[in-house]
Amino acid sequence: MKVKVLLVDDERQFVETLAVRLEVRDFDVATAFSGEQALDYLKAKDVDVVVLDMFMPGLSGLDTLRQIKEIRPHTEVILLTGHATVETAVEGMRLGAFDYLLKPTEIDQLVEKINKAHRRKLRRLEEEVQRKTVALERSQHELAKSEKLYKSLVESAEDAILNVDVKGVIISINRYGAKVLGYTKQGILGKTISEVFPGDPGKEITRLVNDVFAERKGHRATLELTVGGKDYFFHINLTPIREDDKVLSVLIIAHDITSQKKMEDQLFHTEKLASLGQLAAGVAHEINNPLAIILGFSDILSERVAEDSEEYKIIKTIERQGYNCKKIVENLMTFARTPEKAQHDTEINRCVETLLEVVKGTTLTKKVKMQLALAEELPRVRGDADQLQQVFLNLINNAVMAMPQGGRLTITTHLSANKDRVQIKFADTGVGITKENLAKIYDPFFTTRKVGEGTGLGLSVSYAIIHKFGGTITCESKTRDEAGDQESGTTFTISLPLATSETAETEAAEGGHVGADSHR
Amino acid sequence: MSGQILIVDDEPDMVMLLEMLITDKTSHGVVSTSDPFEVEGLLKTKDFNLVITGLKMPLMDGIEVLEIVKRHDPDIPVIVVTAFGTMEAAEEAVHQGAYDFITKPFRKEQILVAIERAFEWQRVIKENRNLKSRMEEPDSHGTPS
Repeated sequence: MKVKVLLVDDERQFVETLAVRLEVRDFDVATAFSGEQALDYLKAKDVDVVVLDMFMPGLSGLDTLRQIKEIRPHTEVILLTGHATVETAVEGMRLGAFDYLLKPTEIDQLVEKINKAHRRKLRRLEEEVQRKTVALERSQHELAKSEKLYKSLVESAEDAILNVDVKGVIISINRYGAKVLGYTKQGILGKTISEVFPGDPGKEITRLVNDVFAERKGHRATLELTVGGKDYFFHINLTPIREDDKVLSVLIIAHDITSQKKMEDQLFHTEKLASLGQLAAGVAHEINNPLAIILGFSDILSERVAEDSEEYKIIKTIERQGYNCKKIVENLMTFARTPEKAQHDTEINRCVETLLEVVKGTTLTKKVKMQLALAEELPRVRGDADQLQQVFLNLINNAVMAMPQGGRLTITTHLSANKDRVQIKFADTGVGITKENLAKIYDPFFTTRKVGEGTGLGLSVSYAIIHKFGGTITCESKTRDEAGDQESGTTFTISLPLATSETAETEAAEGGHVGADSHR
Repeated sequence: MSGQILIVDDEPDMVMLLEMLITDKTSHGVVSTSDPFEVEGLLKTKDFNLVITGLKMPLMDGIEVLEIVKRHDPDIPVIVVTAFGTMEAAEEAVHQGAYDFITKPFRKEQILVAIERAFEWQRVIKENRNLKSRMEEPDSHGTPS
């Protein structure tokens, strides 16, 4: 390939002669007769070497040089100069000229310089290519590294992260996402959202994905999903992946908030109970006023009629039912009452035994076989014996009601594994409680019994009493359907802190396992 | 011994009930009102031995009635009647000088016993005062002015 040279000089004849002489020597020559012309030419075409006269009318040699270096940084420039302007030539070298020649110019010298300049240009270009190659390689490496980092981030995330195209097909998913949805990674790719999430949640996600594609902005939602028979709550975040103005796909990040949700629900439940309690207390208080009047007048009236009369019976019935009302109101008040300041302590086994002594032989336990398994030498628990007995009586009463055909009621007491609580279990072999009802058993006025048979307060009052003493009450139940071949029934477990439990707790916390073991 | 009892409650039926109980079972005389603002005037019409008042009343509560009675005559015992569950308010009333409290709903015996005890208390107080003044009398005579 020929070396391309641009000759720039205002002396036409000199330029043309020189051009011919260079062409003969196999150069590809172009000419310009002013700085401006040269720049115009260079803006259109590239050359290897410019031979530039320093002294021209119009744009000066130095200014031309400066602009050439701006337009074509790789083009080498050889300056031509007279003796008088050598200083200018030196200045030109500083600006990036390759070399300079004094006029008049010897052609061989010029050719040699042009060739040298050309070689330097080639070398510089090569260097640049090399430099760029290295930079490219480095950035590729960086890219690969950051991709790897992102991938491992996505892969190890405890959130389901998936990418979905416009048809709802899953293009990518992380390991956790596949696992949660019950698939392998390979198995889930290519499936659509509605295949993976059957039913309403699938429809909901598909709708959200479509919205993101249409509106080109993100969406958030909380969804309830059933995966493999388990209920999950997910907070999902949908983000459009854009290229220019088009949404290519939607990134879905689903965060499992099931445990958080459960806790919130429980909190809500507790708060609901508390506010219901307050409401109940208010109502109960109001009811006491008319009740006092009804009972008072029945009393007076009953003394004014003969005891063997029909009227007397009627009045006594009014009175009895009035006292039933009073009982309900008292229960409600107990349920709503704030924790008492002074807490008593109770010996739980004795508490159970005396209660059984009372109920034994009554109609209550006629068909039911009672089994007692009381652990010996239990420490005393926090709680008032009377109130605890009220709770136990409630549970026994419920158990007996759940076994109309008879059955077995087992009452066990034992010390918890870390010895800071006493547990009392009431296990019956009754009909059991359905899942729907299980959530509501502590709600005031919730009852499955016939009107008049149950007030729906027994368990709410029990719940309130146990919690007042810092204890917990939990319930497990299997209905006949759920139990299958096994025995159905309900087990209530009450766990009460020890009377001296505060000190015991700190000891256990400080001493760790050793402390807990050495503790009695 | 029979005396005079003033009954105050914003609920007319409660007033009637208490009134009937007392007239049926005791020989005491009863004046009653369902307007606590009348108490101050009524106290001036008769010498009462006992005031029974409701505690939670919309316009004037039992504590205020108690204060009016005590201002009139600190020796008149006051029994407050309140609904079960407002024990704190009842205790507060006793703290302020009420003789006793009864929670609704009540058995008639509770009311009757409380009334007899209040009368007994008033009798003792009065006797005490008489004895004291009799002891002071010769003293005041003996002191030259």
